[in-house]
Amino acid sequence: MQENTLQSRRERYLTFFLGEEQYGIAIDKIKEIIAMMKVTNVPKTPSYIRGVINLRGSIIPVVDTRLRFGMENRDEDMHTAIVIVEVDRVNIGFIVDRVEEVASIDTANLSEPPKFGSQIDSDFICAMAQIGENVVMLLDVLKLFEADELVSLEQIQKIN
Amino acid sequence: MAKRVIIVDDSRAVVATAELALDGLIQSGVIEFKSYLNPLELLNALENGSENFDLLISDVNMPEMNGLDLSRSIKSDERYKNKPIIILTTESSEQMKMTGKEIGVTGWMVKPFNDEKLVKSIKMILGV
Repeated sequence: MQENTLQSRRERYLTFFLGEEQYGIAIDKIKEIIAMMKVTNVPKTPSYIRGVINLRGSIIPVVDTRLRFGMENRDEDMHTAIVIVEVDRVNIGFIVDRVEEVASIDTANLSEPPKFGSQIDSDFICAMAQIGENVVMLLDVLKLFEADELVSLEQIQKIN
Repeated sequence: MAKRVIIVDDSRAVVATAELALDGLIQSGVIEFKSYLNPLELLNALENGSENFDLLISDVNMPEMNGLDLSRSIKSDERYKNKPIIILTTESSEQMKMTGKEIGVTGWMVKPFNDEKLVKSIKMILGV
């Protein structure tokens, strides 16, 4: 571990894979990681909402993250997990291919997101970080949703 | 000095879940957190003295070695025989508990574990 310098600070991110690409979400937003479970379809929701899960009595909308990022569908396996993230006071589940680790990232080592070349729309990415030999794209989860979509997600929770 | 907590589990999701739950203790310097996905790697490191711990949290079903066998090996080593071990399991049978008791494990935790309960147990065991 390198010593912290005055200019930088370390922030912690949960990292996960979608295909070959590694992403990170700040851990203060993460509520829980659960194994893939039965997702109940809900009509009249955005296409990338796979449905809802009932987690110990709480109804949580679940995003098909691959679909949201425009990636092709993939069969679930034993590594498929749902990461529960708090987005603007709403708990939302994100289906990921595989959870990797909790990583400490030095803010001095962050760089601007690319304008092209990534599989996903770079609007979702707030920064890029290097962890070992891997480049990790740090996600701004709020930008994954339009404001009205968040409202509709809140509605889903209330109705159910 | 920070207490060293090691978790060994072949699931990265479980390791990350534990690390998230313990983040407060890690960030405040109360504990150091280290994870192993392979129990044999941990056993080797403990045997050659490059690793040490104040508390070990071990999964049961791992491909390389069963967590109870791992605990037995560790407990048979003079250096670690009094160190606390918590077993993580998806189902705790009476048979398993008997074996655990005989080996001398400190406690059991059923997965998926409750974050608060994990933190509480760790604080209690380590006296922090």
